[in-house]
Amino acid sequence: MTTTSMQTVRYDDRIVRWFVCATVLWGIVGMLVGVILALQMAWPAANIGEYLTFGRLRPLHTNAVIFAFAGNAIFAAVYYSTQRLLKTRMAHGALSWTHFWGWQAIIVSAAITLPLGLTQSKEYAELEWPIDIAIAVVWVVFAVNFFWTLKKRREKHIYVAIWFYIATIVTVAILHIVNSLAIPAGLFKSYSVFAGSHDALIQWWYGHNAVAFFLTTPFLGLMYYFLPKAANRPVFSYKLSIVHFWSLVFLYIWAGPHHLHYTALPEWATTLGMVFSVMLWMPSWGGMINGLFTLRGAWHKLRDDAVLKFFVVGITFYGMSTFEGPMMSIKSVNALSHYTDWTIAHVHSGALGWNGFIAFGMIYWLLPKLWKTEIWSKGMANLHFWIGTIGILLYIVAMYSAGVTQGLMWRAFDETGRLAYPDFVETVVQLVPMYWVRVLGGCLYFIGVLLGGVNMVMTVLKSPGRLEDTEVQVPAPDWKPDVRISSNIDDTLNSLEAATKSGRHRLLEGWPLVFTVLTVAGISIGSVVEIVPMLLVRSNVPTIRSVTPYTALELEGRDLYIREGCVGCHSQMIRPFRDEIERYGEYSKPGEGVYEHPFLWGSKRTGPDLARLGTKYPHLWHVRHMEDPRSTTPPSLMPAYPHLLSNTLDLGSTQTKLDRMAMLGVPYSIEEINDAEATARAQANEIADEVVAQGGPDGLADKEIVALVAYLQRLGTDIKKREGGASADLGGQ
Amino acid sequence: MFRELMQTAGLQMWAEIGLVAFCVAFGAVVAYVLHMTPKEASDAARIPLEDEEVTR
Repeated sequence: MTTTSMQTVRYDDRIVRWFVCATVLWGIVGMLVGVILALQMAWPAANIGEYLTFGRLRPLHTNAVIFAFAGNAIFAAVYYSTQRLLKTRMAHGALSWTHFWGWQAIIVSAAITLPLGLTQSKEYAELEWPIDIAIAVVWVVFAVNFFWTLKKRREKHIYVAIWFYIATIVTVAILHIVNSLAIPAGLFKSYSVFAGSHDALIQWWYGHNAVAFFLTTPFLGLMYYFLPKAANRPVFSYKLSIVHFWSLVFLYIWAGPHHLHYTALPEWATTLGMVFSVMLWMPSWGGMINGLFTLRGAWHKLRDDAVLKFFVVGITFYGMSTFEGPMMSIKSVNALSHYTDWTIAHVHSGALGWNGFIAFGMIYWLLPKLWKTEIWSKGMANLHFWIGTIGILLYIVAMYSAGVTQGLMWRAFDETGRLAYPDFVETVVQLVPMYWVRVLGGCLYFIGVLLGGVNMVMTVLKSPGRLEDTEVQVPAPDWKPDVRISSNIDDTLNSLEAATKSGRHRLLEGWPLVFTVLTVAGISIGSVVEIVPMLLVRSNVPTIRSVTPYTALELEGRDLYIREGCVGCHSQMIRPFRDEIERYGEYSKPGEGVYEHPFLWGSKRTGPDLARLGTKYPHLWHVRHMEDPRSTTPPSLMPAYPHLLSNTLDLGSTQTKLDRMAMLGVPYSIEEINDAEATARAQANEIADEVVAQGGPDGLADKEIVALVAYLQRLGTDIKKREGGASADLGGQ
Repeated sequence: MFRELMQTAGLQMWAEIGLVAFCVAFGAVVAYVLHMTPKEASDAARIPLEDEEVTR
């Protein structure tokens, strides 16, 4: 008979407690900003001042909810479950705390810079380059700590939750680094190294996989650990979890281009994205079924247990979202849903239902264990669940209604063959009641989160004063091989035979490095197959000779457009549909974007598309519209930007900006770069004079508004130029 | 025009490579799963529940 020696392990629970507190704190902040945004959409007067407009707050909301709330929840889950699954303490406390405080510092810097308008404009990747570098450094610290812990583990086999964490860590690193490649044009200004359709492909390869590998895989890891714990049942099918993991990791990475259907992206790329998105249905539902069936024999616990309630509804929302996502990726469905509030409904059923509820289910399960006391109020936890569920349902039903209404109104024609609603604002007015329902739903969800915060604080306050780390006895690892070279091939074969006796996949799980390499290979195949051909045919993107770089002033105006977050509500991508061409003009061409660093196609039309806005209105109309949109379009929901008429235009870095653009391949001459400020001033004076001539205010020549007007008047005008052979390229695709 | 250009660029092969790669990988994973014994799967599924048993 053999005896197993035992070893003592003290888990680092303090770091988990801090991540849990940060999750709740940032959840309250992020969702409060969400409620404010919902209010601004229904009641534009809620846009207050220069720094709190919808365009500037929207990225703050998405970053706060994704990276602050969900991010801290992920880290809490990883630090708690990894130590227990591997039966070892985190490798290095200093790395854990560097990770914690580094991540919080990044969040705070986002909360400061985004309202200031310091943004790269790429969705979920808005933060400027110094913060991007900080994210990469902190992520590496996290990765080193995690893989070091993996190395010193006492449990030989790596449980499914850890696989999902590994996939998250390596993939997020790759996505972040590639999508953030930019060239600085100042301390808080940079331009993406990619342009136009290339930038769009890279961005949505990143954007979709941020959803996949930040909001899905780590939460699935969380589910596979915490759900069995809460239900006190092993996971329903370990075999299904293997298929779930590998299929998901392999398929997800391909799906990004479904965000770009009918745009100036090659059709084969979007079709590939669509096919793999539809295939994603199966592993996603496999995971959902695995989660729900884990509760076999424990359904009765749902009656009283708030934790299981959160988990079950969270997993159900995962199933709904992963059914809806592939459906929306089908081109004919996407033709209706894209740019509408339908996408907003889809996103929030995933974020509020899946991520939010899974996170809070985990937190309610962790609170008593981490603070070694009973939860302060189980009734309040149940109230949180119910009020949150009602909030989500109100929110998504309102947005589904708004989305379908929008989509149908945009494409409606009357019996004479003309657009039934030619004025875009007619469609906006119809949505206002639904926007108010969203405010109500959002408020309910936010109140639920506040209740969760109160419950957490009260639980913490009644915990025993000094909290010791959990100490456990675990079997000493008897599986770690001696590090020595086998003297002959027979020894090597014998040890390999012994290793494979427990199954080949379990052998693989015992080799984290090989496992990680295979995971990287899985995600790399999809990335390479989609991205490399696009970059290889770069020289074949049909150039339109009349498309020329922006003037210095127009480039400054474009940067103001980026600063104000206009891309959050206005697309610049006309799809080749009859109704869009009728409403906006000639559909967008890939060759029009060759100097667009970054691309500004957008993904939502709360306002109309602007791709062909240039010369549609006189300068004065734009000045009046920006000062007060209701003065030109009474029912408009757009925020007012009076500060653009009073802020002095800063041309101090214009020359640097042109220089950086030239480094990226934009054909500016040396003279154009050296004379950038002077030519910008000259164009500003011309525009200001025209505004006066049209009956507008005087003294705008040195104000920001002239740069923005210059940019807006340029939009989509290049292909209308007849000289330079442009017309030859307009023959359609 | 762009569509025609892309269609003549021979890029369909990339999509086919991707699909074949997925099918091969998926087949390998399924083969793994089919070779697992019920005991192996059951042991693995119970890993998260084990830390409760050893906690003092």
